[in-house]
Amino acid sequence: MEYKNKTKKDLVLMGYGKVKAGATIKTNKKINNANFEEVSVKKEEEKIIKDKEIKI
Amino acid sequence: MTSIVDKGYLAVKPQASANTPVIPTIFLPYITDNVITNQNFERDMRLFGIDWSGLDILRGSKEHAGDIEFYVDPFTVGHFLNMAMKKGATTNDGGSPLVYTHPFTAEDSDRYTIEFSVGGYYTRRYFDVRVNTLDISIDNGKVKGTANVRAGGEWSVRNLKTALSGAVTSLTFDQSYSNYPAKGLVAGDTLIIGSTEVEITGVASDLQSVTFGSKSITASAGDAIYLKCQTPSYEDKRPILMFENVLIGAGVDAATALTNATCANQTQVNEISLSVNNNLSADPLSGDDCGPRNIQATVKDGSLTIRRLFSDISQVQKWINASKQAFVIKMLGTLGNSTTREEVRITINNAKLITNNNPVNQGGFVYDEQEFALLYDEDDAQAIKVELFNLEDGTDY
Repeated sequence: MEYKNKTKKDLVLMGYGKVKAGATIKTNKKINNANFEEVSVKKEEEKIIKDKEIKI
Repeated sequence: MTSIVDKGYLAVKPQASANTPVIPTIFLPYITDNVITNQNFERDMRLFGIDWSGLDILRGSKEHAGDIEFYVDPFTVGHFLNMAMKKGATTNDGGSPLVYTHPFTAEDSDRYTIEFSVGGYYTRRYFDVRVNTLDISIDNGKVKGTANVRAGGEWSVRNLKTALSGAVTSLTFDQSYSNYPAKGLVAGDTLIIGSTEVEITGVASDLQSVTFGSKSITASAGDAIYLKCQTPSYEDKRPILMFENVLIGAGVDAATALTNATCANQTQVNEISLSVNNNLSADPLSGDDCGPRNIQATVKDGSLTIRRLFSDISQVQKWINASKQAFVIKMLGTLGNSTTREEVRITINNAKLITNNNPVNQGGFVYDEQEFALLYDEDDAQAIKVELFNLEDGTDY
């Protein structure tokens, strides 16, 4: 699973260290913190396809 | 299974309005708390034809209150001030980075949702929280705050009303504790039932149930459901404010006190403590099981105690004459940018001595041991003002 710090602030996520604003971390555990959102694989795939379309 | 206290945390967040809890996302370092829900149970003394005192206990009015102790740093104290007083417009010094000034005055504060993690096992959530009394004192050289808070409600543990089996997308709570058992939950919360976790996607408008994505759950009626602890996250920790960096300016009025709050002109004291009391009304209210309970300030007051070396009779004279004194207490932190320090600045506009004692302690110095009443000042049109200078832009308040 991958989680993104969706705030505009750098945060120290206990057990994971410092996560800069907008940065992501990978973990095999669920993060229960509303400052972080799970980056779904589907979303990432959509983003890659969109990026490719833009390039074309 | 055992749990370690230190795995707990305190998380807070201001609410948009009363009776609308939120998921707290601002984590504050704190020392200890004794915030509890008191259900005011008493023995059921109705007559049942037996010679024993009671068959059961009866619930009374619920009260949610207690103390939170924390060290005062420019980040943490901001939220306690925002729970205790009314924040005015934030300004900044134009420096790099910007140091912001947040003024707080003695009026009704924001309401907060706060959560305590109990050893990382379960969460006690309180909503519609305001600070009743805010005490500032010195603890072994560190500036310490003690906030007595009151809340409109809580959510921690409830019971499942009907058994669950197979794939389900909702659950209903029983009404053992409240007729509106889901009040206090919000979409995004994670609940634990046995070993299964569900993330709430919706709270029913009748506050009896919650919905979530399809999950296979096997559970019996009466099983406990509790709020899962968050994985805490902290912003840049600010240094704790120290007594050695507290400058106290005294004078006949607040303007003079401000000019005297310098290293050269300060009034040095050995001990100081300040208490601001909102005298919150938290009386039971009809319909507050589903609607909001008024947690609001009544007549506010404050007191200041000082212990300082006796140097002359000026304070005795001021006590004899009940003279007005004003203080500006600057609790200075480190430089936020090249020119402006982080700071908590407390302006006391009109203080009068209730007591000024010179107790006899053989072998020691003579001290002025003073207790001031903080009074409303007609000229300045206020009794107290707190200004917080820090690196926060104020959008979280």
